[in-house]
Amino acid sequence: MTDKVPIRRLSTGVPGLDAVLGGGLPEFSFNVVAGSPGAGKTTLVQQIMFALARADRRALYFTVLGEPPLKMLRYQQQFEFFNIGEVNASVRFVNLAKEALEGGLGEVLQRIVQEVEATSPAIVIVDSFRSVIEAAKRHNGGSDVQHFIQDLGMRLTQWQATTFLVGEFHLTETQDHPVFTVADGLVWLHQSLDRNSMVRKMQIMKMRGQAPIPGLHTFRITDSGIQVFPRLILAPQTPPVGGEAKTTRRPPRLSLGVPGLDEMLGGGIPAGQSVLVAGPSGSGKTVLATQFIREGVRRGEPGVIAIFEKRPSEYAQTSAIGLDQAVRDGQVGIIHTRPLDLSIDETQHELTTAIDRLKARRVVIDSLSGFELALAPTFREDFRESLYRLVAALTGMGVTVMMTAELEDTYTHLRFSPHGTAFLTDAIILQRYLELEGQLQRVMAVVKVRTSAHSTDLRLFEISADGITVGERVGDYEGLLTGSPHVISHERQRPRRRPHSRRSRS
Amino acid sequence: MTTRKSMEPEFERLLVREAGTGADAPAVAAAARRLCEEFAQHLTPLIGDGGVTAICGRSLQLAERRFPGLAPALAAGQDGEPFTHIQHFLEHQDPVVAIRAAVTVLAVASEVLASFIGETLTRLLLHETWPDHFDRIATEPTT
Repeated sequence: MTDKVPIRRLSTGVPGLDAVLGGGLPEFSFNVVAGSPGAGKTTLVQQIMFALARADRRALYFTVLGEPPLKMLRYQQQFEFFNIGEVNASVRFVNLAKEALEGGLGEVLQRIVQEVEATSPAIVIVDSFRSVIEAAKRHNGGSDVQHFIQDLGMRLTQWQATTFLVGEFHLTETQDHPVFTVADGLVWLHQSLDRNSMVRKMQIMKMRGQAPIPGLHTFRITDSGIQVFPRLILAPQTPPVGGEAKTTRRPPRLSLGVPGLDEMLGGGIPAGQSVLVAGPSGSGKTVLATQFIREGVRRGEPGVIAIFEKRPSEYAQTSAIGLDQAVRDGQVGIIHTRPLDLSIDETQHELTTAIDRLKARRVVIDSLSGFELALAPTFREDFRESLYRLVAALTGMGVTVMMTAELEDTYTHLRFSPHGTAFLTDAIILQRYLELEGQLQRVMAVVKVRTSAHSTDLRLFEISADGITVGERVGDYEGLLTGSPHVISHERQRPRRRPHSRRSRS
Repeated sequence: MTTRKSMEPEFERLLVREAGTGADAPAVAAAARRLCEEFAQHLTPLIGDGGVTAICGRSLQLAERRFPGLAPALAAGQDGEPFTHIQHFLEHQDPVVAIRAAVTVLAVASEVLASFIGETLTRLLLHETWPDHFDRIATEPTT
């Protein structure tokens, strides 16, 4: 016999949570939702309850001690998921305070049994289970807690109910508290504080019968309820066993909409690659990024721009090349994420949602410095690693990613990114200011294009109302990037029959 | 809106129906107590005994302004029998005053409850307690 019992997985109604759980909530599972006060435990279980409850799948919500039910009902109904019409229909609240205070665990269990047998619910929630235990301790020292948990767990299973025990537990208690042994699923909610910032995180510490996504996942609580942003895990790229050798076909090139620059890149950016545009403030990075997106629109390739410094309306109007019409036409999406408390996973979620919605082929992140600043402090430490995951995920979707990075215009050393992230990108375009013959000039160079020949010239460029126009190679100078250029003597000049080029290593 | 003023006519009809037309003060008091207990019975599972006690206490405090003597009844009734003391208070009033006082207590309790859990949920509980007397507020199904 190879037939295994199928485990039905219930959709929780919490965006992102089903993926984190490994495909939804196993039916008939006995789950503990733990965390500190204010972590979002009650909100999480009520959101799940209202998503699952219906006439033929009723829910029983036992309130015990702790937050008075009057207040709980007052605040929880502010969430959009709280459907008042289902109260006392598919959702029934039962208060057990009297039993917990006066009768102890025996009476609590008896009342739960009574209510469950009368209602035949498919979902049972006890909030807070911790207060049941505390009441038992006051009553008889808590000697029968283990027995109560075993008994409750067994009964809930035989009633074929999916169960949640909600409690304020400490992480240290997972070692020896019996409820964590009995539970099929253990969901831990954290509030991570770093300086003045607070980030909510969720961890699925166990979920029997399936593989949840490991690690800490950020989540937000808004008027709609909880939204989870699954931590991005990159799937290993393994060659197919016995399959054909990897094709060596070159990816098509995407035009940046700047003819001279496309030529410098060896014909544009290889599709599905990432490119970093680095340069000092005002050098034209945003103009180039906007031109890249506008060229995509012209070619029927929608684009998404993630901005972190300006408001979307300002960005679309004030960039040298207006994108407001393309935004109105739905060919360009501008994401302006909430600054200062973001996680990379949340940004990635917003980007991929916009990419899927617009079927975008081009993405701009403007700028990495703004992005880093917009992150909660706790994520800034891992910025490089997180950015690596983000870029890999986006290029893995087949989109071409352009990122801008602001550089201090220093002449003492050559850097391409203040984040040490230049190695993450497949191509680098460098913009600089130069003083030539008493004038401030802008120059541009292609530093690398992975697996492709590209120009090594430093080319002058100008910015006009139409965008960037690439000009001539900077003339007979050397030491331009040191800040002290000088004219090359005629004896030392190289022949200039064709533009200089080289091939970047992979 | 679930306000005292809007609820009073509805509770007055309910009380008169329960006590009978032209009832004396003891009959009004007994009917008022039954109504309080019926409402509490539907409220307790949702908000617990503590919630019912809190709503009752606040309602009597507010009703005391119009009917001096009601709140001391609460103080005496904090041993868990507040409705007995309300009944006792009403029994010693003129029948017309007893009706007005009982109606005020019930209407204020509804108003206080609505201020905590909202009008829709309050009307739902009133409807569940006295289905042929109170309509529930239609709620839009969530998608």
